[in-house]
Amino acid sequence: MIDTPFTVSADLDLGTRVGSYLRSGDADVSIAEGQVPQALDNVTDRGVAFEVNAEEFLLHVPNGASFHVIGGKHIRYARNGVSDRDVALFLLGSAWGALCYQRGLLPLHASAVMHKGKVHAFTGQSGAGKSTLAAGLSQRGLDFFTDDVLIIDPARIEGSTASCFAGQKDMKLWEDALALTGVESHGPVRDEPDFKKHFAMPATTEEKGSGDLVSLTILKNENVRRDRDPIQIERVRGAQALKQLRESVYRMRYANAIMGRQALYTALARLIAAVHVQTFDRSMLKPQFDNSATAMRDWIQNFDQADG
Amino acid sequence: MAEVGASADSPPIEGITWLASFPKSGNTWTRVLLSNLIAPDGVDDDNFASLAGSISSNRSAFDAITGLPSSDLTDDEIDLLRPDYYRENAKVAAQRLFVKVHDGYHDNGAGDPIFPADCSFGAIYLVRHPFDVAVSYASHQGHTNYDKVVKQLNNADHIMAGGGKSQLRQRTLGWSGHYLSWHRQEDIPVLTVRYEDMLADTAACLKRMAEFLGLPEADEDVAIAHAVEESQFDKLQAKEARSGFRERPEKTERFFRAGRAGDGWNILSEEQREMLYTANRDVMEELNYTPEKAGREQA
Repeated sequence: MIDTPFTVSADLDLGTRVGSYLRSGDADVSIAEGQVPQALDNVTDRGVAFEVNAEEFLLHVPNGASFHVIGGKHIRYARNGVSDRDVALFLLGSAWGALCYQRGLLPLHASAVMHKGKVHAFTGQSGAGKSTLAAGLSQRGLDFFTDDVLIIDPARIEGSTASCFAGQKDMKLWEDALALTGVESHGPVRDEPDFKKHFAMPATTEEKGSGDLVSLTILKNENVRRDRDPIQIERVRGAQALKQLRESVYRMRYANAIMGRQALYTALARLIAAVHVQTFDRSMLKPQFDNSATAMRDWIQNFDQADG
Repeated sequence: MAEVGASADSPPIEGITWLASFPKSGNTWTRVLLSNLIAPDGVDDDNFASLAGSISSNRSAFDAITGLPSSDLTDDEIDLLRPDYYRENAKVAAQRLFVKVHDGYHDNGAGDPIFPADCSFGAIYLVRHPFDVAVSYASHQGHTNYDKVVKQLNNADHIMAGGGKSQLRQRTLGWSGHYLSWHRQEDIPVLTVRYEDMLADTAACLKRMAEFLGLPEADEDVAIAHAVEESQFDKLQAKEARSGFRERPEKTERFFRAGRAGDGWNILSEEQREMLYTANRDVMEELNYTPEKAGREQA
């Protein structure tokens, strides 16, 4: 099985996050410093910091680098005075997401672990605790698979099998999450002083970059009922699952603008039909983390037994 | 990058109404009142407020609209994007937006106001006696360390959230700084409403808000009375006990705690009240907030 959905050649140090994508010679995608336009022609959608047309995507980070993604094959970046580290951060995030859509891939905003060869992913809004949970699970015996981005190839969803790819092999954790999970820092994410987010590599990391996705867990902290159970896992199906997963699409505005609403919903519907989708509602209070991480580890291990 | 959002020659028809306040000053109650007045069909056991619009510090909405991950940006970089973020919000909204704001009114690093006048309808500014705010704010944070909240209210650098937190950074500017920042600016029209006046005559305050907003309901006394009735504090408390309230911080027992004036005198020490009065005297006097309990009752 191929390990990455595409290959990349780059003229800057992208660190270890996408090591398996990198080639020294010919590759599907070239990344190079160059001239980036201020604006695009024939714009079909525009957000505060980005523009999209039929073939191109443009992103300007405030006080930072600019990125021009062309036809799913080229990423041009203008450094605008910032370091390799800061260029790579947004290149492997937003620009990478746009590149995936241009190539017909569906990136999900998800972190994941692998257990007995199967991928279990966690998705949710920014701040929902995806990375922290994946780190916690890797400290509890499951193998870390990807952080922040999980790439689905809609062409590789067949029946009850959905192939997926790791987007990032380094984890990004805030300092309090490092302390909570016991994962060691590999250095700050940004060169900006006082930015308290770090790269980290959990102790148990799966080297493989692809696998079969079997469960997608949507992280919640509904915090509504005062007398609720501390942990609630609930399977969701059909339209309900579609509604919940819609918010888990990586950079939804890009998806609509580049992939198109119809293609996006078709891909999501096929994904929902192929994998187990559920919500995981739990406390976000730190003293409760051990309970919730252990509960999810047990669920994954039992799922595997039931499934296999 | 081409200009996005509303331009000066094509202002939005409605724009955003900012519901601005230091925390725990009646902001949520105001949203509930306005919801029951203008969008009562959307209010049910699960939804206390049905107004379109969120909170200014909504991280996931910021990420969706800007296309950038706020968690990889510094708080100052996020502030550079916020004016255009709100413009885009106003531009794409199908209806009038009411956005809760606990930020003080201030500029970003580029010298632009975080809350742009060109996408704003106006601001309803809610203010509450700082002695009572201190008690309620401590409860909101899940503790009874009143020395800590007194310092927060008195601190012009007091911020909420930001960094790895679930909401964007909000610079409150402290209790006095918050009030002064919104009242010194002249770009966005402001209606100021005291929490104590809302308690004393809720209908009159709601009518003032409706008039400020240019709502047809301003002249409908029956609709106003109904909205007030549906937003009674004991009703909100009962509803929270029955169905929960999404905005309740997980550390606290309940969001709708007491809904009354005067706790600050019963709970804070004389020293804590003195510290608040000394630091906030000018604004308190402007609002007829006295340090004596008797004075409060006459206010």
